[in-house]
Amino acid sequence: MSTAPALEIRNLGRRYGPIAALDGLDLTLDAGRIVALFGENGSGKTTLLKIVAGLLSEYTGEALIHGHAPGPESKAMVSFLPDQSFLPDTVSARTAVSMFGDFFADFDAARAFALIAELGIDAHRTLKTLSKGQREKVQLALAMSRRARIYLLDEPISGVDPAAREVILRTILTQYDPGALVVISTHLIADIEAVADAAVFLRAGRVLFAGDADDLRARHGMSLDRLFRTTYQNPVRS
Amino acid sequence: MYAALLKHEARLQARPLLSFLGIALAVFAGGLAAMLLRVPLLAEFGNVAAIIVCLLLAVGVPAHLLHRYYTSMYGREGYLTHVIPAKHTALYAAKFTWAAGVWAASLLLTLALAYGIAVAQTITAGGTASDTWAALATALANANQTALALGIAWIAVGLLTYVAQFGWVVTFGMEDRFRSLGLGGPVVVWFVSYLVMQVVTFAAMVLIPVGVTPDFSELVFASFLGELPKAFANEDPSFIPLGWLPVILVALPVYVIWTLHSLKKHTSLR
Repeated sequence: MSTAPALEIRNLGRRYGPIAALDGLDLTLDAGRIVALFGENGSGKTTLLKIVAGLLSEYTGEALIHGHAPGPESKAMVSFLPDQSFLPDTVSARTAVSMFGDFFADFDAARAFALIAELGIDAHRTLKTLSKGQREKVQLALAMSRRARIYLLDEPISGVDPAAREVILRTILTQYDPGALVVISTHLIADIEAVADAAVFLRAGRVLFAGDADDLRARHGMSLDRLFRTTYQNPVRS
Repeated sequence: MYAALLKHEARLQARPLLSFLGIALAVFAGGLAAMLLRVPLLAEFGNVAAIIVCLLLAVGVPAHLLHRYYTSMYGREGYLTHVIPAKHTALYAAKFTWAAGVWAASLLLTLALAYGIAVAQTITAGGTASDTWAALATALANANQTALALGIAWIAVGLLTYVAQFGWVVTFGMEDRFRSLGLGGPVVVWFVSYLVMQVVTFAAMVLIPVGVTPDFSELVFASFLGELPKAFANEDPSFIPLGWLPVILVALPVYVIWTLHSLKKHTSLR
């Protein structure tokens, strides 16, 4: 097993036309932690996750996943849950499980079926007959049923009711491998604060501050939720 | 992984394609039955309906394949496609194989249906089914065999080239440089590439000094430039230019290599 950090980002840059979504971002994250990724809209959270997941090829700088640049090797280690529905409408959860089984060597189909049942979803129903929240739960079950070394969860609890949020968070916490790195991007700080070991605050494509959650709270004398509100009260002009 | 990707294509597309095929064949069978039974009013309509089914198959299947390529690579399903731990070459190979296979099958089916229409038309005109087969066999036997072989090869290579071109149009058109155009990116790329291909093909026909006599009996190594006035004057040129053949043969690997490069270096999901 390599001793490289789970995630090592060096001088990462990505532009959308004249706008810099990531602007020389440096970040190192170790395995075995739950990291909350915070930032206002347009701060670069999703872009960062997309690059690490291998969905964006055009960037400057370096992103290393356990020592590998984004590619087939890194994708075999990263379980990515995007902030949108990525499954075809016409398939059932059962078919989706079969698909994941075909593609990911670390996928545990039995675990996925158990999770889907636990989340109260009929695996035989096609996804188009499910509500948005139910679809998100199916996708979460698929993503968390991989024995991945890194989980990238982009807004996994947005757009669902508070009860569902709790279920989703509980699912994440009970299903991930403790030796893995879990990065959760979200605006719902209060929901995530209690479970995050560390936090990264982004602004204008750079790391504003990052560190252990307890250290950040102690250093700033406030909760992460309060720190977020204080930090992002004045939006940056782009 | 290639086999898993191919299975994935089949799993997602078999049902819509078979549904489309089922409806098309039902309409076709109904149309043919109306023709053969000489149902008043409906017989003519049945003939037209059967022809429309053939046209829809010829156009609808590639349109569906193109749409699926876009949605699975650059629509929201792309968020799954591009996190699969497969090399871009395997991803592309699976999609290419599937598209070429399905399109080829649909073309063969279209030909079979067209033959069915011809049989029905022969019978309604007072002939028999074997008359159509005999007419076809005679036409094939009398046809210049070189021209026939060349035509079949051209269709096969042309189909592969179209598959590669459609893939390239979408892949290149969805690169970051065309981001502001949205779906217009592939449309603009297609339009420009179509124009370029027309110009290049015409230039190759004129400038590459190779052709074949109208009876396909011998090759001619001469520039078609001197024959152009005849072509424009609606007169038969003394030979058929073949300069376009290298273009289509070169275009196929160019589209494939360019698409692979674009997939590897410029994938940019929105």
